[in-house]
Amino acid sequence: MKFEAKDIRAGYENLDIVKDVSFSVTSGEVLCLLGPNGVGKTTLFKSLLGFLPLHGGEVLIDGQPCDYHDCKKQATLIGYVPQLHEPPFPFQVLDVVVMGGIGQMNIFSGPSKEEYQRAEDILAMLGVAFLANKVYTEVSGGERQMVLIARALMQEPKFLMMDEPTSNLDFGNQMRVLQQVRMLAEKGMGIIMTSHFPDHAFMCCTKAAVMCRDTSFKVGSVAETITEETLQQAYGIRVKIASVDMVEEESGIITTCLPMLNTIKISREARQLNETA
Amino acid sequence: MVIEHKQQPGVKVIVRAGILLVLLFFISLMLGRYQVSLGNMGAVFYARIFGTECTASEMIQSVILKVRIPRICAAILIGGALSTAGATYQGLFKNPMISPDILGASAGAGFGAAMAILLSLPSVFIQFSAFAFGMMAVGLACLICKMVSRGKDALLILVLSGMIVATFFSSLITLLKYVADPQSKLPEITYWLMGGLSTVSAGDVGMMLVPFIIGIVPLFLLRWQLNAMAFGDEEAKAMGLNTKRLRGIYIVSATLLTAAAVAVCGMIGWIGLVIPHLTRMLVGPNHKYLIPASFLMGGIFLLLVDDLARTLFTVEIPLGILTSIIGAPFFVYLLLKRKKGWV
Repeated sequence: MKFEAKDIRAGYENLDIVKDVSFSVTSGEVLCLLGPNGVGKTTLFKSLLGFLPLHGGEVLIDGQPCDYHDCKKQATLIGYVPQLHEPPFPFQVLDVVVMGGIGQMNIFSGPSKEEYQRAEDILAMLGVAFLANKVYTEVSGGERQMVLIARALMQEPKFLMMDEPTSNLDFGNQMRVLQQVRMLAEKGMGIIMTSHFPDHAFMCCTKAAVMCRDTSFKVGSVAETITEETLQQAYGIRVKIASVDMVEEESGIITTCLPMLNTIKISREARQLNETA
Repeated sequence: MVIEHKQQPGVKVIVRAGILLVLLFFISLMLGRYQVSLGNMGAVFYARIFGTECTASEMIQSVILKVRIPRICAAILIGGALSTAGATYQGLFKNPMISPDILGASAGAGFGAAMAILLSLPSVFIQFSAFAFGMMAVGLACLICKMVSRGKDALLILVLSGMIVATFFSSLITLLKYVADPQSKLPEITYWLMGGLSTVSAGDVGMMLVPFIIGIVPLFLLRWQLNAMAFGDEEAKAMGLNTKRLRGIYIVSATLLTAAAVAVCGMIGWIGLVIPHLTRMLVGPNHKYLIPASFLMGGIFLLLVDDLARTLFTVEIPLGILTSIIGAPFFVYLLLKRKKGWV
């Protein structure tokens, strides 16, 4: 299946924050959305999910325009994995996961035994079956992120939208989440995620998009999009892209971004100069 | 396996609370200044059910059938209604510190009652006016929210609007008290606001039953969806819920319950805040069990408090005072005992 965003214009009230955004993701692809703070990544995300009205353009799935009023149908197409948060009530993990299927259930009855079973299977697939009977507010951040992914999978969507799935996680848990992203893509899920680390795009994504402050939007394969020039333009710092040969670990060549700390200027003018360079 | 293990505590608590409520119902029938023995109570029920001649005295029959049964039913319905509304609002607003009067229902109802009393209207109109103004206050809060938030649905703005409306109506109540005749009307208004069930008749209960049923049925039917609503609008929407419509149903239903309860018995605080809390400690936050359990616990609590109110001293203590006197220290106890994340 194909998720297509065409000439998206989005923002709050009368103010356009994001302009002329077009990209597409097909099943099995992972798109990483990068950009500095405040550039409108979240705005774009919320608009694509239908939380904010689009100011222009359209979102198509297999050529069919999305009908955001039909929440039920929308939920079977796109699953949303929110940023890590803490709900006010200590729900049980299994109850949180099974909630994902709420759109498909009879509205008057709660989840059936089969649905609880499916929730457990999903947790097992993500390798966190042991969480089922724990309390959501008491498990670690990495585990909570897995629960949120499981909840979105419970919807059986064709695409997943993950809002900074690695934020607030330690190094190990970040990699565990990215590993799961890779696994889901191999199973045919189309994924759109945001991140603050270009490295994450090299690790698990097939496509990357970079948003800059001048509202320019670059999208393409990871190697094409994430270049030293683009990163400097987006973040205002100089970056070297290096490849490390990891043949002895059987993981081939790994590409990574190395910021050049000694060249970074903190002042505003220097940043602007850098961005235009 | 796991499923069985999960569902047990909720179901167990609900069954136990139900049995306790039934027992309390019969015990409460015997309590009061006019003592009724178990035998007499049995005789009255036996005669009623089988249509035979009653062996108990005329007096006992009328105390049980005309005074105590309506009063006990009112206590159970009102306690249950306030506590169910509280649990609903808390889930909906993602905040365990919210009580059912957050959107101004109580203050509006108080104003409606005070105005009707001031105009010397009969008691049916006092209740009707209280109910109508309670509903109107919440409608006003929703309207202000809609105007201020301009299409964006912001829960925070709704809570703020509710507080504004509540404050406004509270001031109006004070104004009415200020202009009321201090010899006759002022005490009447004050007593009404303190809350109590001493004047409840079977007709009052019947009248309350209509908004009560209209309010509680959707809350029971749609209670599972509240779980997702407690994760916030955006997430609930992404899971496929029509959050706008659901929120409307929850607010209207919970407000119907609150306004109906306040119209019959005056302002009774704490139940809508404390009982859902306590119930959450017993059955967990899953609304599938929380809502019915809250209803039963609320009924039990208000019935107990009302029993105390009418037996403790020779003069009846207003319910609103007793619920707060018992509720406040109880809440401190809950705070001391709380686990992480507001169980």
